[in-house]
Amino acid sequence: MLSKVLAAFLIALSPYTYHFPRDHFAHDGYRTEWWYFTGHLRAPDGHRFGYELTFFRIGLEPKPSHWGKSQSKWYAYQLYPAHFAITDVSDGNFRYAETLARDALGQGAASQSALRVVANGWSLTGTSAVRPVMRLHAFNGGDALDLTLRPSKPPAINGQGGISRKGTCASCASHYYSFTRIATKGTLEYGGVRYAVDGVSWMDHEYGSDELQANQSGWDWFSLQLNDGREVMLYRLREKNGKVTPQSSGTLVERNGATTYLPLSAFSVRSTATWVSPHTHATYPAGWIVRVRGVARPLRITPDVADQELANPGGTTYWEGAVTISDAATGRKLGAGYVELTGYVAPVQL
Amino acid sequence: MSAFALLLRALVKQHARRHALRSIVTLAAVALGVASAYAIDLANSTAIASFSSSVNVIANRVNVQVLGTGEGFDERALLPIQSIPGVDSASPVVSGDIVLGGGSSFSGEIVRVLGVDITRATLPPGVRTAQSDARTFDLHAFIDRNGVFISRRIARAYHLRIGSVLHGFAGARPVALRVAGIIPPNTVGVDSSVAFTDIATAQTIFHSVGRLDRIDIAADPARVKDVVAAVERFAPAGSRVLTPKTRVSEISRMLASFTMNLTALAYVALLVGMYLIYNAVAISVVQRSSEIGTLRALGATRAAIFRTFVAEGALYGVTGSLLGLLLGAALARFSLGAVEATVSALYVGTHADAVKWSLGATLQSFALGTALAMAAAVGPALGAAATAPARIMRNSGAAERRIRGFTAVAALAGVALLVLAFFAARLPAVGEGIPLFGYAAGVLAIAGASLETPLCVSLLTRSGRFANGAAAVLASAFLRASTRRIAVAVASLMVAVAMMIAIAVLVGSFRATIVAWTNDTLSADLYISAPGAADASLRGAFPPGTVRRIGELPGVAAVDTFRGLDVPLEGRFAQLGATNFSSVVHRNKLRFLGNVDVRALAREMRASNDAVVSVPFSTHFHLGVGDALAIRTPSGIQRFHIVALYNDYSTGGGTFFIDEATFARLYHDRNVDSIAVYLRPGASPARVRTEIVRAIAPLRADINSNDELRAYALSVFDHTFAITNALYVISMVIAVLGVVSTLFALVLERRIDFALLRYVGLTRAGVRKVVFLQALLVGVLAGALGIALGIALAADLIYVINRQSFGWLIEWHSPGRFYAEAFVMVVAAALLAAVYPANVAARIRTSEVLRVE
Repeated sequence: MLSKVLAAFLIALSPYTYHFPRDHFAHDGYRTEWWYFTGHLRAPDGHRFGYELTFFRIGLEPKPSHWGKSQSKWYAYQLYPAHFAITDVSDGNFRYAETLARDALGQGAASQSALRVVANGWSLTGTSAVRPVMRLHAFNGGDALDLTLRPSKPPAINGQGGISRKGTCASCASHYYSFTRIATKGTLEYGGVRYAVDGVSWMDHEYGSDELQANQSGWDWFSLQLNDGREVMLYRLREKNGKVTPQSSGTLVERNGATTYLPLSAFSVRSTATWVSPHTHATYPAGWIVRVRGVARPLRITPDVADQELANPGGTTYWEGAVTISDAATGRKLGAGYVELTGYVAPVQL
Repeated sequence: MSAFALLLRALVKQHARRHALRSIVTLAAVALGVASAYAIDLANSTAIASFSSSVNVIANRVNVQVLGTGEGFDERALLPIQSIPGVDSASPVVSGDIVLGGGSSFSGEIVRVLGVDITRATLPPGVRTAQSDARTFDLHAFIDRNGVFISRRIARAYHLRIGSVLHGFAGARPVALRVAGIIPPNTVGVDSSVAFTDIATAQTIFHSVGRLDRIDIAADPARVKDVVAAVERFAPAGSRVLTPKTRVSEISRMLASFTMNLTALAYVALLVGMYLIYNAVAISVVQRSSEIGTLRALGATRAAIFRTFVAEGALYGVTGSLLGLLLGAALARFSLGAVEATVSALYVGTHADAVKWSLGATLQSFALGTALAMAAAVGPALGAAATAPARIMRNSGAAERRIRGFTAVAALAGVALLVLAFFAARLPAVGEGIPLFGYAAGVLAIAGASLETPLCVSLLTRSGRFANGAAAVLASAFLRASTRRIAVAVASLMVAVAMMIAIAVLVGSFRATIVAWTNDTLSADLYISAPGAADASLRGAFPPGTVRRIGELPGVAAVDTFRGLDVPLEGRFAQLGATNFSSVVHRNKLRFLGNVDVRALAREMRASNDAVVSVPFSTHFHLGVGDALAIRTPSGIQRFHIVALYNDYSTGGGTFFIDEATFARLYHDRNVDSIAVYLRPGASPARVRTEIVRAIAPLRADINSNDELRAYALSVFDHTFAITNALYVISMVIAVLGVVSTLFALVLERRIDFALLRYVGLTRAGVRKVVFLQALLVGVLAGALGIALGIALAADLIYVINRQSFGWLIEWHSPGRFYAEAFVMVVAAALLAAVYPANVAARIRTSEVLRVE
């Protein structure tokens, strides 16, 4: 049954040419899509925060063209999950929330003609431009986020030929681009206290259908913003037998926005520590030495807070956390980033 | 060992061992009494808890609900409500009942389907893990078209697996759902007759696209009040805003009069047991009066003697109560079925899987049993304490002689209580139809009549005319000598007989009333309703086209339709009925109270907001002819004027009727729930039935003939009163045990007299005759007094208690033959109770007894 549904969706194929701003918007033809925001924020009093706000779109089945008016508006063709996490870097705390909306009565929506994604009141909106001015809004109890984001560089296309490969199968790829450095300003409410904040964000926008191979268990993903004005994105897909999928890759973004594709042979990631989750008892890597072709210094990656695990939102547990980048040899601070670790409790199913 | 313990051992333990039979009988009586009280308590609280859990079924954190009525409300109401500050989540619910079965197999089992939006509802954990093949909750399976999660019980009963198709009927329409998950048993908050589906599926199968039945709101607990106020501002027409707590308390309030009636009955059994304890302790005091005298002479204080005999009562109480709890737990399962059947028939459908054990109910029954046993022992214990030191009292000693003064005082006090009972019965109900004074009148009458028994015993035994023949003289003399104990035995049997009579008269009258009512109101030849309509909540099962098609069938002369809807009224729900009044009047189907010009009424009702209400409705809402009631309808708030009252026994809460034209005008809806069909003369009901089945396809209906429907109404009635019958049988058993125990004690006391009589020539048969005559006296007296008291109690039940709690106007119906039968039965029971004591008396060996003495 699943494959029948999948047959109705597009798969990410090469060659593919991005058209902006259209490709900032939703692509209902693909089954899975997400807009992934992470960032580092600082309040005037020096309080430091990390945040993650992600909007997903999951197609259940394509909407029929003859959609009857007499039909229940609750028939779900799309689901809109969203995750929202705040890391209090200064005090070492972490909180997260999830929401899930469907397209009935406009509670969940992702426009195909504008940058507008909504899930039960959480929202991403943006101007129709190649480099859109974006607004992010999310709330959870006494926590809230209200940010304005202005990308400093044009979109960086990941992968080759318009697709980012995840494996060997025909559908094992996605269309994937990033805004790797986004000036961010706004307010953050944390535990009922309001902070005016500014900082730097990162956005990933990715869409495809049936992207993973059956033998893959998860991935480690790194977004690194270096103080020299360059950024690095890396992902390593892990297979159930312990190997790393050869199609794993990365992107190096220059100060001027020019990108270099990084095949698996162009970088190395070595884990240096582990952390055992008190919530799920999963063991995660918790510190790395990363070497990237084109980056002179070996990078030491250290989590800002050990426990940045999101236990089971939407049925998948993962670790998504703010990290600090330093020179592995001298200890000098070289930048900040975010790391995502999936599949450490159970293999990920998209 | 303390002095108290020594006394207890000397006076009680040894005695109990020596009189094992009577101890066992007394314990059995207490145990039966406690068991019935405990079982009813558990069954009642389980039935209420089952309601509460169906209210809370997806309400982990829900503290405010918007509750719609039959038709539900516009789903767009959700949008403003979910953005109210303080609302953490607002989950829409569309619910309905489906009756399982399809094709040739039609089970009639009803499953309550809750359609939820999985993206917001916090489902009970068991539902989230309902799929055997998924490690995590599979949203897609849940949201998938026509997917349903069912309980394991239903899955097993219908041989369903994940992927199988569940067939059933939503109203009259066939539905087929795909089993997407199986909910494990003991999932908290979900009983096994509940199924979950996606809200889109529910809207489709229940034909309520665009409408919701409920919104479950999880609000910040600190702001519930503000949230309720804000939600009320947005609440759509035909809905109410309330907290689950109020809903549960509403349900318990609605059931209060019903559960209280049953509880009161159960406690009668306990009361009869109390007489037995009194009896047992009193006998042991008399039998040991010489020992008591000796102990007093040896220095035992009055207080110590008093405590010892109260302790004997407590011993019976504790042991009997413990046994009763064990027995009660077993009985509760049976009672639950009966209680639920009644509640479902009268109020709303419910299904509890198991008796919910409650520490509170257990402790309460235990404490009550023990406390009543101790209270029953106080009288005899006071008598024992009054014993003078070393006074040797023979069997018919001063204690019994002192009784004569007591007899007169008791008789006077009894008369006073009876007078009080009479006046209590005239007081109105308290609160929500709780006939507190009606119950008080019953208790006062029982107590008053009991206090008359010593007088009756002594009058009867002294009456010279009775003394005819040696055995009669002896029996009479023996009884007179033990007036107080005999009086207690008579009283306990009398109470049991009275309860039996009262309940039999109530049930008989009620049944006769129902029969008369169905004769009057059920005049059509065929009745068509949606499958399971008697128990399921339905919404307009038949569209107007179906009604028209049936009306056009060749054998059909006329059709009447009925539409029922629950509507909010004064913070509760009331049933609104809609029918064609000119036809009702024409066929004289409603039994109006007073003089009503029915033709004018029918004309008026068609064009106006006039309503006629049932007597139960009038009782519940304190509304009568001339009053008006305001109801929120899709056409705004409407005032209905009550123009007449009619008698009705079909629902607990009552109904108010408007004309179908008025209903269609206000509700923009011409669907109907049930159809009554009148045949042309000579038309074959069987053939028309077949034609109807064909005419309404693919809809499905239950079609009953007039006789079938009548039989069904009576079977519901009989089922309802099954538990009542069981309870009075228990009281009767306890009372007969009491007679056995008393007669046995009398025989033992009279050992010497019997021995002497045997010595002077009385035959064994003669001895038996004496004992049987005693039993006859007890039986005759208890039968006569019991019937008198029973008639009084029946009047209290029919005219006070039932009218106040349910608003049912029951016509008195009790053939004289019935009393005669009851009397014969009681006397026979008393004689039966005498068989064993008579045998014991006949076997007394003269020489042995006399030597010992």
